[in-house]
Amino acid sequence: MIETRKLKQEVTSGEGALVILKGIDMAIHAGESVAIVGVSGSGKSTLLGMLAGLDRPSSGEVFLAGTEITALDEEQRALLRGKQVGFVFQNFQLLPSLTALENVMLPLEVKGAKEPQVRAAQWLERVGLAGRATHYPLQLSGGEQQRVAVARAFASEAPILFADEPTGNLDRRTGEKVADLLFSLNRESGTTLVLVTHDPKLAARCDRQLEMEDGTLREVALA
Amino acid sequence: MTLSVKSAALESGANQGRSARSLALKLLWRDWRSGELNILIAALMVAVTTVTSIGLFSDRIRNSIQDEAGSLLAADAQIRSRNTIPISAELRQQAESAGLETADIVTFQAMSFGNNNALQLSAVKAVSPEYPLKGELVIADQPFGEGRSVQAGPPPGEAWIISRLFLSLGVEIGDTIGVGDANLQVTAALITEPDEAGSFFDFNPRVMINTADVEQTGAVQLGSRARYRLLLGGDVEPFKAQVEDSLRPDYRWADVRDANEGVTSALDRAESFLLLAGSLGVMLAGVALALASRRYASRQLSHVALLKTLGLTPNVIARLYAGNLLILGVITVFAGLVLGWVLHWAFLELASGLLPRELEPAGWRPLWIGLLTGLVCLMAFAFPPVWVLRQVPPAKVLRSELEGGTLSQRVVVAIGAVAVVGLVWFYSGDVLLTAALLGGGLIALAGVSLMAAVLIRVVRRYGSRLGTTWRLGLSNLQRHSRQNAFQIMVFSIALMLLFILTLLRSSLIGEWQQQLPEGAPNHFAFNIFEDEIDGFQGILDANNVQREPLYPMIRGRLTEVNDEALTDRLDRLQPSGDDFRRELNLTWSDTLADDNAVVEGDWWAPGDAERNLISVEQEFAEQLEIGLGDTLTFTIGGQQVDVTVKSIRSVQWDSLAPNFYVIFSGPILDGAGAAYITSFYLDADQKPLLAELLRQHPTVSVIEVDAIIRQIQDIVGQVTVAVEFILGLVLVAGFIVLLASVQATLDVRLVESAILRTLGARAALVRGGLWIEFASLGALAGLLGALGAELALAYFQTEMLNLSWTPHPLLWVTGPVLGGLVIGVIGVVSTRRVIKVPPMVVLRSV
Repeated sequence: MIETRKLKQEVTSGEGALVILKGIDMAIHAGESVAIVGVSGSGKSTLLGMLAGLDRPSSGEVFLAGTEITALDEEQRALLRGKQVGFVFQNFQLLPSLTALENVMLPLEVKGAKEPQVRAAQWLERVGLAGRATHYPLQLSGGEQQRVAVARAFASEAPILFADEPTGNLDRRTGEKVADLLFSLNRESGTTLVLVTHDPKLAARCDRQLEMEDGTLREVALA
Repeated sequence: MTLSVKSAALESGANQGRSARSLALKLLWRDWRSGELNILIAALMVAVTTVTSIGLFSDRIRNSIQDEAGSLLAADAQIRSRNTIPISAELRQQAESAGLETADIVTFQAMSFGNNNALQLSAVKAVSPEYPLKGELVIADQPFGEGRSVQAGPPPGEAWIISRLFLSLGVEIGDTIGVGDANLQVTAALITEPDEAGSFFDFNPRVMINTADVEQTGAVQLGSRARYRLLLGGDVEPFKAQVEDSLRPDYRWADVRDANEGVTSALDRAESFLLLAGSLGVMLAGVALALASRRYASRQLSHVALLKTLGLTPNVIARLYAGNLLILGVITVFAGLVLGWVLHWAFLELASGLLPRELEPAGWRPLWIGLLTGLVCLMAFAFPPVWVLRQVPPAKVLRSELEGGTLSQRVVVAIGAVAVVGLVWFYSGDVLLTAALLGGGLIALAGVSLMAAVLIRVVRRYGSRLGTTWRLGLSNLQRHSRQNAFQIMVFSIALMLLFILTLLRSSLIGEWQQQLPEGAPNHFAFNIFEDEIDGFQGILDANNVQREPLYPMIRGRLTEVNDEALTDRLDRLQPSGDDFRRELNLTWSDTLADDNAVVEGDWWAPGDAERNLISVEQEFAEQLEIGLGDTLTFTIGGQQVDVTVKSIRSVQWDSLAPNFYVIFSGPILDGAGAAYITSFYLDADQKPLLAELLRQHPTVSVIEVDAIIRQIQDIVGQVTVAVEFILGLVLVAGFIVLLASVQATLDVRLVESAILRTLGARAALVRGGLWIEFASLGALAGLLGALGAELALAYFQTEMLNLSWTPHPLLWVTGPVLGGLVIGVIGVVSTRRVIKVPPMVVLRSV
């Protein structure tokens, strides 16, 4: 489903070139859930951006759902994202000027899906926020905001879901609830889940764990 | 694979565009409701409103001034015959078929005969029934009586004569007088003719008759000195273009601009002033718009990144935001047009007491200019930051520090400058003015930013010793020093404009009023002979009438310059001005009048009176290329007089005191045959004094010019109101710039203040810091603004307005104080949220 070949990322800063990804080769299969773990600044989020086609590597190839996204321009990548990819972010990334329902409707409207309102309302109900549909993000708690974001991610019915520290901004109990929701919806929909986290408990709920260290990636053997 | 993705991309991109349109409108609506777009809308509205209302207002003032000046011609234009042949019927037909109204005037000298063999050479003006096409003809039922306005001149068989002619002819209303061979009944006293300014120096008293009676007078025959004028009313410009080149050489086109020097120069000054103020207003609004749009775009960065992760393509994003801006822009521009109209109307209502009468309506042009200005501002100032949103990297959702999708300040400034220059060019049609503005603007921009950066550094170094609050405020000032240098630049431009406009306004109006002060002479008296001087002066002085000195006057013809015959010289030089072949009024004087100034050479030295020297008026000298030391030959009373030019003078012609092209150093031909001239001021209640004056000195000629003075004062009044109005508008534009640029920093300030207060800072400390920051910013801007204004004023005063330069020391004090105060207050008031919003709310929403 997702594959990288010799993926490299360098950035030039004042002190010279900084290598963030040192030629990563990896593959994730359809329906798998994979956690990418590692310490802060190890390049986890950069890798996630590359896999999802949000950013372009310095060199190397990324294949997403059979398409070499590194060969596409931003216009084409955007269309591919709209069809194949859903996101959950650490800081929720809800549009503050739209209601909870309207935020969930966003990807459906972008795809030009039929009856976006009905489908969005169904997803809000599945994450337990049917009663909050007309609330604006600032009127919701952090946990509620992230549940709206989860609903939004699944509403697009994309086969691949990327999550960047989905519980990072939440307290432990709320985080667990959101994680429960994420994994149960993932199971029900059969999506491929790629999750970046430094929370070992969350990582442990995935099928596989990959650890980023100093720009390289290695498979963590599961007990 | 890639190919199929591409074709799918095209199809799906089109779908996206449609379905995302409603989303974009929803976002626009929400942004509008939440106040995100307020400054953007206000700035665009101000640009359009400023230009539209200035346009409407000045168009109406201009139309009124032209209408008023038109009344000085009794028409919108005249075609004058230089020789004594009537204007061709063909030309009249052409004018009429071009849709113009026409009327005729014939003027000639004829003897008038009254009772008891009284006779008087009079200036006869015969008018056709359509006269006047413009302006007011005022008559009275008794000599010196109260006037009433009438629509047409005397019917055939009647004559209207000016009040003093009743005295010299010994007639009353209803009597019959002879005008040449015609016998006409006097049915009214002629009080004012609209176009009497044109006949300023007709010495003889006016008799107005109907053109039907001209032939009967027998005074107009082949070769007699009759002058013919065809009056034209309506939109004369197309007709002028049509006939101008084919006009016979002995015909002259005269329009509003030629009607009167004083009116024309007031109109010219008003025009350049309005033009200047208009461009500056737009420039300010443009800056506000650019700031607001930049802020709007920067607040959209994370939204755009998110929309991209959801699959919106860069092209769709660009189209959505551009579309939103266009919708917003078009609505705002139209609202601005309406507001501009309402504002100019409201101001006219407020100022109605200051205005002499209803103003003429404006044309469509101001609305077009407003529309165009709005669209240009939208494209140049608001559009660029929004257009580059397409470049926002989608990975920004993961790492907010990622850059992209913003324009560098240099690009923004460059695009803005191009737009401003384009607009100024469009408004003025003047390449030179545009180039001056561009050059000056660039130098000012560079200079002000540099100075602002230096000043911020200096203030930070020395001001911080004053305590915690000061350190906080000044460190804020320096921390965003690039941004603050930009703000100081904007503020200093706004303040500079304010200073320039205020000072220009007061010096302009002051100068106009000085030119025509209360009590400026409104009557000229001629033909005062030497033995009458004492008696004439005696009457004026006994009645406390303000008068100018008496000048001897003698008529003479210029015949040679440096032994070259004048006719040859005129053929060679082809001067555009006056008819130099006519008899000139010559005088002699030992003192230089207040409204004269020697520009070349020297005024008389002792002993010059005996040396046949002259002083020549500047324009006269330029036209005939006369220089110091040249010898001029005059024919005066049949004798040749050779004189040498000792000085060249500038003359303020609109002072309404007697003035002369040529002043001799001593009595001409020993003073023989000279008559004296003076001017004096009579107010309305003193008018009967004129009758007494003329009864005692029947040979003296008096010309009443109060009507034209009133006209000039009306125009000055209108221009004053216009200037005040425009100053107000530019101030509003400046105010919005201040708000926009403070708004631009609001997000950062909210966070900083929240952090400070979280750390335990009291609101008073934060507020004090804001005060110091904004007041210092304002004071620095005020200082630079004062500097800029002083430089600009020096240029305007000396180069554009032909005034002399005077420094403004007070400006250097008021500049910084006013800047600090105004910007301090606006800054602190518009950032009050920084203190009011609980820190938790701020920090949560980051």
